[in-house]
Amino acid sequence: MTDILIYKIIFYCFSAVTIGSAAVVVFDKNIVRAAFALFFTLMGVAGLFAMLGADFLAGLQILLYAGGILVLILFGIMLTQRLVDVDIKSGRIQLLPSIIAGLILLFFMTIMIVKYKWNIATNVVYAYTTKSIGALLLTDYILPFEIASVALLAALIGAVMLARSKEK
Amino acid sequence: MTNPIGLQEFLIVSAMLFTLGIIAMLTRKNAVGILMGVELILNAANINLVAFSHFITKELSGQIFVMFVILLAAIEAIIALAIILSIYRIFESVETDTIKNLKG
Amino acid sequence: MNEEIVKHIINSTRYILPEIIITCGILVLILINVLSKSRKYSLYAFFTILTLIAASIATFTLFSLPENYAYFGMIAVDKFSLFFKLFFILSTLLLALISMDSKELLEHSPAEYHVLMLSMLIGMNLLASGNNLLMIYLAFEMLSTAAYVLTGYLKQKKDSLEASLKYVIYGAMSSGIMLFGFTYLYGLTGDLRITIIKETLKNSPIPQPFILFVMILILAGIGFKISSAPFHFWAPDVYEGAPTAITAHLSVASKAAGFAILIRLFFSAFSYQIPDGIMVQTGAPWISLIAFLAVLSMTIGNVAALLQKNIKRMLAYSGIAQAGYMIMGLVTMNNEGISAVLFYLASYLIMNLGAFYIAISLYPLTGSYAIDSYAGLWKKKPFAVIAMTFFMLSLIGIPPFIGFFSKFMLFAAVIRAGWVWLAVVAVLNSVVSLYYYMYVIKVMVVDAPVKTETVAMPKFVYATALVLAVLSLIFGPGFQPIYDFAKYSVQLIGLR
Repeated sequence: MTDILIYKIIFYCFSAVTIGSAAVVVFDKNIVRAAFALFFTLMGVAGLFAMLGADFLAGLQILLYAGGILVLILFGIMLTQRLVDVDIKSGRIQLLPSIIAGLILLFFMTIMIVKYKWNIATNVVYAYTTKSIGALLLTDYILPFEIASVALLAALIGAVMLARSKEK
Repeated sequence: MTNPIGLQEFLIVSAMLFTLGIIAMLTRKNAVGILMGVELILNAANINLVAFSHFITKELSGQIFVMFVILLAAIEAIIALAIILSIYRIFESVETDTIKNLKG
Repeated sequence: MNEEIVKHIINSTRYILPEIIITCGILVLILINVLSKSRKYSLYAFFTILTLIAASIATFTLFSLPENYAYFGMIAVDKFSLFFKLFFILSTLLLALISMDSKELLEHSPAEYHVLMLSMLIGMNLLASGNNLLMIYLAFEMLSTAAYVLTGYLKQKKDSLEASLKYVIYGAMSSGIMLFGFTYLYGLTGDLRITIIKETLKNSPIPQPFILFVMILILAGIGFKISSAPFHFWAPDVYEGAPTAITAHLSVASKAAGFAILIRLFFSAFSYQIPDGIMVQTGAPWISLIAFLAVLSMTIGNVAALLQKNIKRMLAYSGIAQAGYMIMGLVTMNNEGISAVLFYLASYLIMNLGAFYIAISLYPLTGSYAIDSYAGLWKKKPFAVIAMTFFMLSLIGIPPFIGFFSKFMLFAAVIRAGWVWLAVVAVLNSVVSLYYYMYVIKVMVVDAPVKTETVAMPKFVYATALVLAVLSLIFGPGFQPIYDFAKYSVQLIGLR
């Protein structure tokens, strides 16, 4: 019994961390603080992955997302902090209407999620996923796996070309 | 052993993340801020995928999809930040406070 | 068991032969760049064109193979996808050809330019044949990221970078939303493959609001790609800021890629065929949603184009309106309508690329892309003006140009399917579009000449534009071969 209670508490803790720091990401005027809050969001999501039995993905999330993408974003912010703010929108949508619109959207989504009878599979199994994911990547998902390498190559070439300094 | 937390709780968490991401995209003017909003939406999608993979299908297709989403999120962040860095390099000596060369 | 898997993978390889050739081309380009450090961009352009010709030959050989799914249902190889592959290869070939004229584009990083061009092509090819939500998303992003970089290629120019930034931000937003929709689709149907999704949607009823919501989310991403309203806000700025050769390529190829996946998704997953061949929509009444998008795009595109003074922005809004016409073709729910859309895309390639290429050719003379800077060019460069006139008249839909016949087939299909009011709206919009297309012709022919530089026009671009102008005239009355090819290719696998 207490197992289930502990499980529920952990879930709500992770969810609170995720949603709370996501709120900071959205509303904080200081962009550096927002980026650090994003870190906690990503960690919270990794925790939720772990609770769903996705052990490999939880590790991947921490390594790649928090440890790679977030670091990249932080570099981007730090390198450009002192200079001009890159604003791209000419008209600023007010905060309050968008929050209201967001709440309405959330309300409708919640109703749809709760009312639908999801066909949940019986006996949910918890198993180590790493070996199965590895096998799948080389059998069922081999084409996206290979294409992803070409995509990554092109993205790296493109990014280096764009970010190269003028002297080259 | 069934999961004490149902599918719907996870879906509601991801719906909240999605909504927050949408609000970020609407209200933030800073390009990096909007990018972080997009990351929120991608994470919401990832939670969806893993939750569905766990509860509905018995396969790992959702989890593999998440791997590719993380990869593509990385690629997108790389390109977006490369562009932002290039812009700062060009606009460095110009006194503007918004990038509005092109109309609207 | 493992043996079967290996055999399946080996057998599937022949179905992606074009993409393998293009990937080899990418590797060769990188090797040349690393080993020879050559900066002569004609070298890279030559190899790129060679690769593309080889890829097109490979695509032609695929036509004779039986239709199939490859790689465990990841991609569907049918005539529909092969049509689009040829389309994309053609557009990329033209881009490689005309880029040889552009010193500023190729001076600094010719190898990277061609690598990005080819990788965009791979993304588009896989998007047109994608049968699995994962493959679709991967290909979509691959195509988009190459496009983002190519848009910002002239990184010394502020406009180019700003356009690229806007493109990235809006693109990331819309593809993220589309992905979220994909996840719900996965959850509701339990599988990533379109074939399974179709069966599940047909057999088990899902509450309509939910499916409609999912469709709207998915349309956010696809609508962005095809520059349909209300997801069109990126188009004018990106078209204006990007290097014009890239703008031309985006306006045709990336739009067509969006249409390919739109048709495949909505006709393979969200509808099914009843025994006497008629297709029925499943899930939610998405036909009305599509019709609404069509009307919105046509109207917003045409009305906004009236106010434009810059030819690139005008063509951007015109592209939004043209996307509206093409979306309209989807409400017909039959092969006739879809073949009309494919034919329209083919004619759009000729007309739109031609218009952009003339604009590129005239740029050294006038020094700007403002329409008013073309005043009185009839006296100095009559052939260019004639070509541009052909393209403008074709875009309006005036005979004997190909634009008339493609519009006619499209509107006829829509009327025959019973959507008369929609066709009427389209015709009214075409009448409105008369004004801004004719304005270009009027400025060129009638207005008093403005001072221009006396320089030669870039050879490749101008020559290609003239060829396209001739084609737009020949394939007008002679449209039958193209239309028949479209009809032949419309067979999506699993549908007849």
